[in-house]
Amino acid sequence: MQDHHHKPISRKDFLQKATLGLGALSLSSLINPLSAFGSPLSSMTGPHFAPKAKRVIFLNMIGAPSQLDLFDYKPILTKMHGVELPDSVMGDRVTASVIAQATKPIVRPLYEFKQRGESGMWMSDLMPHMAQITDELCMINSMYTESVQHEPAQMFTHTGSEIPGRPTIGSWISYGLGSENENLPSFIALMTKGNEGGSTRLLSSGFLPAEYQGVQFRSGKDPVLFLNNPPGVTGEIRREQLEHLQKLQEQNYSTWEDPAIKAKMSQYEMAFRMQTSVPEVMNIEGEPDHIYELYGEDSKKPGTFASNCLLARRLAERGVRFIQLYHGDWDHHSNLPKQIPKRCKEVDQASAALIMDLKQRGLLEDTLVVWGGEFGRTSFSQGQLTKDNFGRDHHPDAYTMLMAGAGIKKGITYGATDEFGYHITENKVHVHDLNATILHLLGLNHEQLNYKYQGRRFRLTDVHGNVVKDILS
Amino acid sequence: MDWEIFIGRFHPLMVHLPIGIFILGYILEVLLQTGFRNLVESRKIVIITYILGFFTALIAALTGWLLSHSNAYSIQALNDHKQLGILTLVAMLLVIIYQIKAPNTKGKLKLSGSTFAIVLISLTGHLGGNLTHGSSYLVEYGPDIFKDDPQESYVRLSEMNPDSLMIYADIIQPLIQYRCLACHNSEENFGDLVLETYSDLFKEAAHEIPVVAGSPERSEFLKRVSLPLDHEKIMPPQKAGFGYTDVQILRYWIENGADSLASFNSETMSEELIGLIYRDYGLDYSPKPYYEKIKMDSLGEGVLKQLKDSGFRASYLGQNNLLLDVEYKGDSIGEDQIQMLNQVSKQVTFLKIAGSKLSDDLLEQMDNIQHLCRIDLSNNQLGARGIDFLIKHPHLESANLNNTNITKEPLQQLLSQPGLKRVYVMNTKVTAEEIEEFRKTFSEVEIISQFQFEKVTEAKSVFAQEAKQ
Repeated sequence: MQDHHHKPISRKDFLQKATLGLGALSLSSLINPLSAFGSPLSSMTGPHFAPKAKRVIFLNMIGAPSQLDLFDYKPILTKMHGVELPDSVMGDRVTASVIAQATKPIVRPLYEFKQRGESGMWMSDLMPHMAQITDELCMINSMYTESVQHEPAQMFTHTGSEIPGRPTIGSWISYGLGSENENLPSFIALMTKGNEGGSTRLLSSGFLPAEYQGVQFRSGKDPVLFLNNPPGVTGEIRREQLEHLQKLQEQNYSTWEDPAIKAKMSQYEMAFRMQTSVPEVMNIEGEPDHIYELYGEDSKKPGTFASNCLLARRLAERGVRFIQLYHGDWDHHSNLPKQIPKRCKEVDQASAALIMDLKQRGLLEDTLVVWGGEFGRTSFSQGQLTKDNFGRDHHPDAYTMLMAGAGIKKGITYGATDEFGYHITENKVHVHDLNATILHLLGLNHEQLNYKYQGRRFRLTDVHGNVVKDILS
Repeated sequence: MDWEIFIGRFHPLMVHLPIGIFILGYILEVLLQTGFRNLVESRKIVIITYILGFFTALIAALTGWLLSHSNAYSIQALNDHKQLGILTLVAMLLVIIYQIKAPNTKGKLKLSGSTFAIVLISLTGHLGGNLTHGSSYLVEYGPDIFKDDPQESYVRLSEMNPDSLMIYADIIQPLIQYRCLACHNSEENFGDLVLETYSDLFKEAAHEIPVVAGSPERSEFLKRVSLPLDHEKIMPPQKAGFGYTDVQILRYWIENGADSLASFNSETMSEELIGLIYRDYGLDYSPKPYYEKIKMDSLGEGVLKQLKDSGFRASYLGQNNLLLDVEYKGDSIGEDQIQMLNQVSKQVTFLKIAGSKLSDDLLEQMDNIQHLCRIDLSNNQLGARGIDFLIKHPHLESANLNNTNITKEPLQQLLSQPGLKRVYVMNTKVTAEEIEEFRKTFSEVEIISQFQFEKVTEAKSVFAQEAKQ
């Protein structure tokens, strides 16, 4: 007798279906044992409607860069530098750390802002390369989010929930769209070496099958951990091994009919193919000089953000659906004047280069690039404002994200904040709205992309989210 | 001078007398009933007040009857008010007679009769108020639960397929019915205007034609609903008029021929109108690319598998869009693959054959791809004859010719193609100067070539600058 736990039907499903009559149950399972209950491991069959974008590259600035120093230009901060922020500006939502602060002196942006390109988009001198490509960008100055702390805010941007456990956006997308390249995972993450910022928690597929979770590629000779054969095992031996395993698993499957067995086999096969495809994609030695020049000096050093940007392009070229890049240390509670130029120098040229490299290759036709952090920063100084030092606190009520590429209007600044950059005054965009828009561009209806788990259908946007039509081209 | 209406207009003044006086009588009766004998000593004062109230009510009714001849109100609402008014008069009279003729019945019974009359007075008064101020006047600034649901029409229309929506039947006709028909129907045709049927819109009324197809300027209907709100001729006169969106829809419909079967067309709509309709009705008319307008049947599973087996990756654009996005995955394409592609060419809209040793000769064997919108032929040894293939495709919007042997003249030919939006010419035989020149001549096409940053100098922070000074 077989153990009922290993049936492809869960106990709950069984009880549900049994109430409909055992006759119906046996008939439906005779016809097709898997489809009768919906295989939990099957992905959807492509986009709901014709997509504008086929893939996404998300440049995650972990720690939350100061939108007031980079993008959202507020001249009054310069005029009122050092003056106490009027209480009337603050409104009701004040965090504990702000309350604890004795004074809240306004701080000016450190670097000059100018209007750039034909669009006249404002951008700081801190981003001299991004400033050259503003006509490709859509700047959303009216982002807002739920949490005021990094970890929950990052989780929220990634999964639509502050609490870990839900699938991250990359998992949802690979679940919804499947892969365009059977030799590579459809969701890949790259983190700056020594300044990772992101964590593997952000790559979790939550309750979606594990094959949709993000795979982190590392710099150096072992990009994917545990992928290479152990010393002494050749490709042929591994192949033989896999084929034998395949036979055993097929026997196993015919007994248990557990779809997880098939999933596991397909993962083994994928890993085998990745033994060739990963070294190929990660080897950037063949790139011509003008490409290194475009991405900047750093791009020759593996593990840098610039090098990861170049890799992101190579992954995009090979049809990877969702590519997450992480770069940390944007959390400038103090020492902002010394820190922010360093971070900008690390990401500015490479981010702009990535967008323009995608463009010149024609990849921006169907690739979406998103740039930003988990929230914004305050217009007043955290801690003392001295002659050459200050910091800015977390600020979830207004911040900036950049988008570029497939299906996005070029050279527009969307949404606006009050003159202190504190509250949004026009066209608010919630994180759920941003995520709904990203899914929309990929041809996915965010209300239809769902997965039933523990008796409830879950979505990336929970029960919220509106597609921001105004920024769609 | 019109005596009828002159006197009639005293009705709104007169109606307050019976209401006030009768309610006074009622208060006295309540006091009498609840034992305030020291204040109200006998029922006589109650009856006298009621009689006074009844006579003023009679005057109010007469002036009301005169006013009803002025044709300023909608028939249905007027009738309701009139009939309830007469009923109220009768009830008042009965209350008085009962109180005089049956002095010995229980006071409670009398009071309930009076209460009924008071309810009737209130209802009649409310209907009268609605007639003058419009039915939404009372609760306009009140809690939402009393109001008509403005979301209702939004939900109804937003669930429709934008392509199947008919402007007249789905938007304009309901608007007319809701906002105009009360006064402009065949029974009650103010200004001789009837708006009951589609053809009524084009019939002359009081020397003006409501709708002149194709000519918004001469359409009196549009003119009257779009006047300033405080203009004496604005329609509808008493309640909030047509919204801005509805006026713009009306204008669009008239401009485009005012056909009863007309629907919205993204190409003739202004960006503003598209935005307004999306905001107010939830319908998306933003212009669709060509590939979203084509309807196709699905290919057999067998054909797709064959395509895959010949080295292509092929997928439908979406679950509801059965055009194909096809990419050749191999590094060397041959005649067999081209033949395979020809079998499905009718279905293809995006095609990528990049870095696959595609030659002009092979390309010439390829059938015309009717719905081709985007093509990527980069990294192949293609020349002028490749362009000859491309210009046979009228819907082509993007062509990637990076790393090909394309030269100036064929490129010029391609750029002259109407509809073309983007051309990629990085690393070709076309020089940077020629590209610059083309960018000026063909300003509507984006010509994309190798990108380079301008040199940047390190920015100085304000603190650093201040420290120097």
